[in-house]
Amino acid sequence: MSTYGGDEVSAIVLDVGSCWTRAGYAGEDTPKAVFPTSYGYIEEEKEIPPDPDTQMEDVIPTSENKPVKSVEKRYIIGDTGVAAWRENMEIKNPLVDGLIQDWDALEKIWDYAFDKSLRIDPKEHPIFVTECAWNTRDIRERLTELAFEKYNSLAFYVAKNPVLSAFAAGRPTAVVMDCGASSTSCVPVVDGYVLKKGIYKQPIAGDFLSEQLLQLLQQKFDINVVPHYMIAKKTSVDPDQPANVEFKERPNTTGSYHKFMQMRIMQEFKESVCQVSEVTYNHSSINTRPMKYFEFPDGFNTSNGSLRFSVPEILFDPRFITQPQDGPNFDTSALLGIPQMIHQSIGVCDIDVRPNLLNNIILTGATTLLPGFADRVNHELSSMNPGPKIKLYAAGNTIERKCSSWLGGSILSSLGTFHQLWISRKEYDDYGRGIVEKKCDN
Amino acid sequence: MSSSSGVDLSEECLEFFQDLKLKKKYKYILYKLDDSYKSIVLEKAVEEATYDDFVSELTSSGPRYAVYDFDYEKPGEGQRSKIAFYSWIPDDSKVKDKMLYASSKDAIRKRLVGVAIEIQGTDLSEVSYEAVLEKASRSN
Repeated sequence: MSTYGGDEVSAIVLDVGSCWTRAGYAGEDTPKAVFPTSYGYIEEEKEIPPDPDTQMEDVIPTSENKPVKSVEKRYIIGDTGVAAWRENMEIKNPLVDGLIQDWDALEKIWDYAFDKSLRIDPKEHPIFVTECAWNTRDIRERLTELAFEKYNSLAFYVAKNPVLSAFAAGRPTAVVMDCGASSTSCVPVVDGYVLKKGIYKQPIAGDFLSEQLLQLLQQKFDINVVPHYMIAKKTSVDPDQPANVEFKERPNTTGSYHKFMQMRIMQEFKESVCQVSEVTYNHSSINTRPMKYFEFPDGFNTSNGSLRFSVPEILFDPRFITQPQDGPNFDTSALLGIPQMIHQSIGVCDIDVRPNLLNNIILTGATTLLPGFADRVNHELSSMNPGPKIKLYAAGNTIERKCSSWLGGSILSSLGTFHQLWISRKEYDDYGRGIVEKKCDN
Repeated sequence: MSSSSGVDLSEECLEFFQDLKLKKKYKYILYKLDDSYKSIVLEKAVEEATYDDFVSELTSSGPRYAVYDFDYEKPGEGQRSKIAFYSWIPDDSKVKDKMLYASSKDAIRKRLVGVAIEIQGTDLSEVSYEAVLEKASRSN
């Protein structure tokens, strides 16, 4: 393999996804660092010392002149950081619906990626970031500003996830069905450009399934999911027998941390137990499928039957959603199953391009790794579109499936010819942050 | 900008295309990325070949772009000829090649004026005579 400009520094590729942030060097096959996008913070009260210029005798002792207290947030980033129990640590995610909402936290994530994970000086590298298809102009401009103003990077580029995934699958024209942690989206890409009108998305994805599992296990089966951090000692018990466990003293644990750790167990539960029915869901045939065993961190263990199919089924038929016992019900009427999303997304595109899209459906995102997922999408789409040929593409390699947009960005930004596409420092200085709309127009 | 990757097209690619289009000098042309991945270059131009010859040549190596002068019979209207463009990026290619060929397609496709049929091929069935014929018959 030939290498490009050996004397040049490689670009840094950053993909801040809703669950994981991936950071690494352009040209490599896998990101050097993968850490949770969720961050921890502890609010610490700090007293601001009284202004020394103010003479004590001038101060009239009222309640307003008491020492001023300010609340400072201490950020905790990285896998070992957020997963470790700390008093009063809250866990938050800086993205809402794939869009950056919390810029202070995003900067901490970038800092962590540059300083701790990669140990590089961003001044010496071009920075390539990925974005969701529905990212706003304001966010892209703020990202550009951040790269140049705060990090003084050499150059900057932002590219859309589905375009990168489509290219990485060898398909300039495709529908990219991305089912990740926070959202499921369907985006048509034609000749390397997103067709905005065809974007369909909804917040029903991996995290939602985890929440449903947690709720069902607690409500229906009375299983209290106890995360590792609470457990001091456990002894093994027979299946379906109550756990025999000693708890640790964990004062001032926040609800958000507890939930975060419970969700991690549900993640594991999904990966080891859950499955998608390969054909249209049929309760009686699902009941004949073998059960799957799972041991919870506290030692409680049981075999799981229809639950392991009925929860992932939500992705295909939102009527499978279990309504919460307390709190408002989900309105499932506006939600679509994944095959319907794909069908509608293609349906709004030009009639000439539809056969090509149906023939190039890319599945990406970690939730598509559920066994049976691809078979089911294929089954449903074939019965919805009896005529034309349908072809799904799902990378067999899990890294490719989980990080296709990072990987695409890594390859693209390592090309010698990509030089002319970067927003250079000079262009930013000359034209300002609005240049991103012109140069990164994918 | 010519393509999403910044890859460019060598001028000779266009000259050969003009000869196929205007002088009917070639039956098909294969293009590929040069070894430094900087531009798209001519691999070969073939004067006489059947569609099967073309497909077996196209699909025997890694990713390619191709142009084929496609002849077919339009029922009741006689012999027709259309220029078909192929981006051939098989699913078993290396991910780097997929990325490069997919993101550079526009560098060549946009410069070839007069292409009537465009084929995005990832497996044999998509470049079969029947698949291309269907597209040819659908377009005007």
